[in-house]
Amino acid sequence: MTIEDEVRSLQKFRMFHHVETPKLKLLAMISDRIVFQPGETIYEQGEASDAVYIVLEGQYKVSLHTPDGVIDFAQHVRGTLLGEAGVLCEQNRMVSITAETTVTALRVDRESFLELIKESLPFNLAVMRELGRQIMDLNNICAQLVQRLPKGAPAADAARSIASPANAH
Amino acid sequence: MAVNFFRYVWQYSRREQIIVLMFVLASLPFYWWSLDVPKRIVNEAIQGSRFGDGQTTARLFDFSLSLPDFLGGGTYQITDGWLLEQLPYLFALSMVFLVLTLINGWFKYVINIRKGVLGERMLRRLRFDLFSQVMRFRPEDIRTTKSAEITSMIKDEVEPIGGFFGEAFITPAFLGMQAMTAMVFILAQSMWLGTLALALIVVQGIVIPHLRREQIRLGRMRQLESRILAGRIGEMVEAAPALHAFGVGGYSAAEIGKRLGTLFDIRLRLYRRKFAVKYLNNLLAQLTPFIFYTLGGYLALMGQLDIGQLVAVIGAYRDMPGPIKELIDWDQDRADVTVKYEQVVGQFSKGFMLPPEPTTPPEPIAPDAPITIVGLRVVNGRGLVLIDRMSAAIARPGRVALVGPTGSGRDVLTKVIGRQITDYQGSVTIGGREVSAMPDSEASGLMIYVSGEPFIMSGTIRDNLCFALRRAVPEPEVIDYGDAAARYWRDEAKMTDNPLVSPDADWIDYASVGATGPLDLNDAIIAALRVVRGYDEIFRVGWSSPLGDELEDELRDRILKARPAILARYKEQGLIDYVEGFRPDRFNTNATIGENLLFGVPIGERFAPASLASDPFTRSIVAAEALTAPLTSIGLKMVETVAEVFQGLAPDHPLRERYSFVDEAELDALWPVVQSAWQHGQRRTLPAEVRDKLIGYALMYVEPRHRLNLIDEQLVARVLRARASFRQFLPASEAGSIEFYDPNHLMPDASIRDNLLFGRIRYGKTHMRDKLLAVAGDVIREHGLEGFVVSKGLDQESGPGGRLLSPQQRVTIQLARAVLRRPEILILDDALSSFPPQEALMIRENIFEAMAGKTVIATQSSEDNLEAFDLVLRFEGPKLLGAERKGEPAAAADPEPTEPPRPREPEQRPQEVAK
Repeated sequence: MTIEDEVRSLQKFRMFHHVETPKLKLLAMISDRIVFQPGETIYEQGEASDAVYIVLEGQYKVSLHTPDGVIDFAQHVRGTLLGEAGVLCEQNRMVSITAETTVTALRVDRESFLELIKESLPFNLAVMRELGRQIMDLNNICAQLVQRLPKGAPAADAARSIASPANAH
Repeated sequence: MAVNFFRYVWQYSRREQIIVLMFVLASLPFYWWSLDVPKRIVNEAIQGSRFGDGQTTARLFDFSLSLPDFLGGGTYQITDGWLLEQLPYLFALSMVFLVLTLINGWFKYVINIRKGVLGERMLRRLRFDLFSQVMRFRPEDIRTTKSAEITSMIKDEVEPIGGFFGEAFITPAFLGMQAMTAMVFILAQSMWLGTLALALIVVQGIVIPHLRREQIRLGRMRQLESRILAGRIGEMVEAAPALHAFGVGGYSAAEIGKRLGTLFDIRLRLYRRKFAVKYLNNLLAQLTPFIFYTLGGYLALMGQLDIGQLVAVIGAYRDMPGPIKELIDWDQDRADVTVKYEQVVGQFSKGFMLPPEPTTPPEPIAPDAPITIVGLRVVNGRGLVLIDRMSAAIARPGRVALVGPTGSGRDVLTKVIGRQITDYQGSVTIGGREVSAMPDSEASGLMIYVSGEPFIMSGTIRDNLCFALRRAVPEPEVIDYGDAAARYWRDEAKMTDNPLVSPDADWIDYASVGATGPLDLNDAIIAALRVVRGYDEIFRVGWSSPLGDELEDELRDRILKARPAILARYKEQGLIDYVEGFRPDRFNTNATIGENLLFGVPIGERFAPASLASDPFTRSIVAAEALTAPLTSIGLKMVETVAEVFQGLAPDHPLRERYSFVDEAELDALWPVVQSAWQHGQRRTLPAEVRDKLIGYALMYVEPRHRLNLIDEQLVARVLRARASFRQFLPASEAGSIEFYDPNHLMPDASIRDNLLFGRIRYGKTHMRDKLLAVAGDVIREHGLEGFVVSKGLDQESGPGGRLLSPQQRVTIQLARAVLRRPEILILDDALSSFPPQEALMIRENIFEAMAGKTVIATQSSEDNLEAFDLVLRFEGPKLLGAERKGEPAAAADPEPTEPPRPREPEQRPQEVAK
């Protein structure tokens, strides 16, 4: 696979429709193409957010480790970008991502990703659009979940994290 | 320090001054004789006054000693001398004159040398004294001084003072006596002329200093003005990035221009003055010979003065203006230098100084003595209240959070306890000792203050870490008295009260980090780096640093053993596919084409990546294996890509990293040539240097990294053939320029990583780098190589002010430095604020763990989770709101029982209202 091929695959994504080709090329150039085998971990909850992944192909699973066990919510939210929230918010990985099928992804180092956002306004907008779309999806999911709750259940609180506490080392 | 210049000089150089004075005294008789002899030559030898009356010989060198009357009188003939004819008489006297000249010259030489040495010693002492003085400034005062001004004072302004030390007492003595000798001589020859000469000298002595007063005033102005200039230039150089950012270069240039103008004006006035005074001085000096010639000639013609006397008088007087002028100059210098000295010393004397370091170590403070704060009130220079009367007791050991918004009392209290603010009211004591009055040695042994602004000095990271440990006072080296150089250094230091211990001695206080010597110091450093979570970074740097060739055989063996062990471990853990090994018969796709061609590590410049393509030997191999055309087209493709993708990106933009070897300026020169060759459809006719450049780029190409799909089987086969012929035909003379890959040998010029993996991590697996490194790290530890790799990482240069490090690295090093010292009290004044919140939290937890049984005082914002703290002091503005102890409900302010809680008065200070 070459940069040209990757640019072609990137162009197919809705989020990159408005990004000019040289910038997509730049994105391809500063990233590494990585193939994950089924079952291979893409990243682990609690790790430092060192990179953003753009999934070109394949299915993956999102799981959250809590003291009461693991919650998988692969079915609910699925995006092209992986790990961008942690990079943007300087947070460690919130969830674990595991490849379900063979996953091909472009890995962009954290610094490069932030530089590219600074460099290209269309790319910046693409990332924002993608985040916005995710929020809308999430709202939709939340509404459905709330609908399923029994009457009088306590409201969810964004400040309360149910993830297992991070290790100090 | 003595405020009076002469007192300072006398205090420290009395002995030397007296010795030189002795020399001066001893030289005087010879000086007198050298004045007397010319007279005798003219009168007795040439004019023959002793050869009249038919005498053909005269007696010379007859000495007789006459005792004064009160000793009984009488004359003793010591030597009869010789009877000489007129010509020999002349020659003998001339020889005497020559000998006297030589003796006078020798005296002058010895006196000047001694004066010089004396001056230099005093200068060394003065500079050292001034430096010690600065080191005792209070932190507040240090912050308000401009370092460039201090530098200019210690370095430049005292320089002329240094020249004057030797002159202070000796010159007036020497010149004064010389002038007096000459004067007495003239008076002895002729009362008349002598009186006249004296009168003129007195006039000179009165008028000239008067004229020079203005000169001194201007000199002082020049000194102040140049010091301010030095300070401003220093400030502007430091602020240069900001000046650029705001585009205010014009304004600062104007300011410097104005200051230079003022300086120019002062200097100009100074010159005018100086030369006017010189003119007058010369005129007066020339006036006297005029009088001598007319009046003396007249007296001689009248027969009242013989010619010999007149010549002698004129001769003596010719020597007179010298000493007199120099005496006047000396007086001028004295005025100048005393002003300078008092000026400088005044600058270095503050009302409050830190106490000098005690010679005996203070009694240790009990580890559980609490920090007691009673009635603390801090007001800044403008009368703003920073902390308003607070009292608290901080029990030790404990973890203390000072909570409040930034800029509130919490930031000030850390600085007070950390001795960054020593000007406060009330008292802050630990074990009964006031913190502001503690000497450094005591306070630094007890507590370390860390702020968010790291202080990094130039040197390696290790230097910066160990810098905190250089507090053992090594014994002065035992000096072998045969070693003249060592003795000389020692004696000179002793004479000027400079420290006797060389900075090259081992100053590291090993005991304080639980180490016994340099060898296990590494362990302490590693532990400290782990606490502040900087270990991985340093390990990674060490991992990619060159191996170096100064290895012991034993270490070499261990590294060679670790190499297969790491690969075996990778195999065990299923990681082996992530590394592509160097194999002589295989093309390594994760290395550059150039590396594949060489199959080795270049040593020196010849085969270095940057010059590889233009090397004649490489070029011939490339041509012989028909690689020129494919490599040129790879280079072309890369240039095209770079030109297209990086268009409009700054030349040093971080996103260019993968193509950083393509220099923007080079590309600009290359591009038109390439394009024109293109249009003519004749790629082969590219100029040789363009082709070399393109081949050079191609040799840097790594397929999985640059991903332009440019490597095919044919190219691989050709490169492998070229690899073989490169090795085969390499001239013997160049054998030292390359180290071929060999699984049984180390490559000193390659990185530790390449040496240990003996291959490359695959680019498609970059996300595994950390995992691979972690596994390799385990093996490295098992083989006892951890210290070696970390040492290499610690050898990284930090640059002046730490400019080569990232801001986070700087903060990490500063924290590690404090943790390394393991103080009883660690004060973190916003020290973790440059880390992301989660990272900061983990570092804090690590520090708590490492500081178990000790005290940590940290500033926190009110949103932070404060569960881990034993005591929380909350601030609102300058006020302490209250203290909460763990397990106790929140108490009102003032847990200190001796101070009854002040009622909350509605009355507020005007400053606070103003805020």
